[in-house]
Amino acid sequence: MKSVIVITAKLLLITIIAAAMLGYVYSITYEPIELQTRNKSNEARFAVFPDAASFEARTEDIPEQYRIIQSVYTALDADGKALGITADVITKGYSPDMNLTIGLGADGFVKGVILGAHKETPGLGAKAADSSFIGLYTGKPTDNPLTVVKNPPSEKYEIEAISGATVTSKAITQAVNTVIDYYRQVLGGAR
Amino acid sequence: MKTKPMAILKNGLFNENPTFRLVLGMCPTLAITRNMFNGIGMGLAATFVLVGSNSVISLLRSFIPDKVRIPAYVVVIAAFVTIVQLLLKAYMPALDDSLGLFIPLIVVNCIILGRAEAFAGKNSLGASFLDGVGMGLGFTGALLLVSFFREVLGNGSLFGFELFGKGFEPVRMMIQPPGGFITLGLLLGAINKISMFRKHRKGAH
Repeated sequence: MKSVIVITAKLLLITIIAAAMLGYVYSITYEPIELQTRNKSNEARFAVFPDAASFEARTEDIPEQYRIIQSVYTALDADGKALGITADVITKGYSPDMNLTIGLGADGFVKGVILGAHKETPGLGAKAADSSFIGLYTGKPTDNPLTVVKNPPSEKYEIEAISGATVTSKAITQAVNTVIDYYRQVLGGAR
Repeated sequence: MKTKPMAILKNGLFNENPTFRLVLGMCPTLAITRNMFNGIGMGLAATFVLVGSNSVISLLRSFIPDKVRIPAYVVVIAAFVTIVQLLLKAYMPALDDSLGLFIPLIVVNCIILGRAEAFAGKNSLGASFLDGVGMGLGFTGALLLVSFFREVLGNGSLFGFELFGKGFEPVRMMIQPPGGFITLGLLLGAINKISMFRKHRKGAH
């Protein structure tokens, strides 16, 4: 009986000390971690909307058919004039949970798209993060849905798929089209 | 038990290399060796945990009751792993993103619990510390060796720098899971062959 109490007390002591140590490290790293997370999302917004000076979160409810859109920000210039929007999207590529940030200008053109965290196949779908693919969206007009083609595109609404990763290419294009539709139909932008 | 410091270090690096001789820690070895950057990150993170847990467990070896030594070891190891995870998230977010789930999974890396049980629970602080360094660097070296072949052949690059011109078509399979198994299997076979050959030669003299 006595040995059980001694063993329990010793193990308890070890766990308490370990917990105290963790609490200490957590309190030191809390702020840098918060900063990293914040920087990352703002960095993504600036990357897809380089002309903007600041971003303001929009508060409208997002209708069911646009549910891949997680959050929408208005891009503002230095005088506070709205230049367009950025949208954070989580969609399904070849694997689930593909994060995208998409910027659309009020002038009717795509400002930029970047791929955030994703689980696409290394060497195939993961190539979507390269500017040689994701850069194709920049400057595309938003007055018509974009389509994916397997050969070099012949018109301005076409995006050339990554070879061997058509599913990923289509998923990204679909996400861009959804955000364009939301911007035009619901927010009434880029007419 | 007195062993020379260099012998302990060498033991972890070569004679009992955790990956190639003890065949422990296969899960991270197969999963994260897609590139050298991951390999060195994972190796050093595991080394930090190994050195920390080996030292603490060695210090506490007369305090920890024998009956609950495994839970006590796991608490110590998990604490160090969580510290590594928080530090990586705060100061090296790129590495944290790329290693992802495999950082918390260091807790169940058999190398670490294995060394706690087989070495740190029985040896002095200094020896356990050195064993942690040797085993950790042995693991790091093994990860680097596997990821070297996988990154060069599978992506045509080294630490992210392109090695070959446009004409080189990388063997994509090498950075996908089958490439991990094939590389590890061939390396294990090659190292066994070499050590058998050396043993044989020693025997002949």
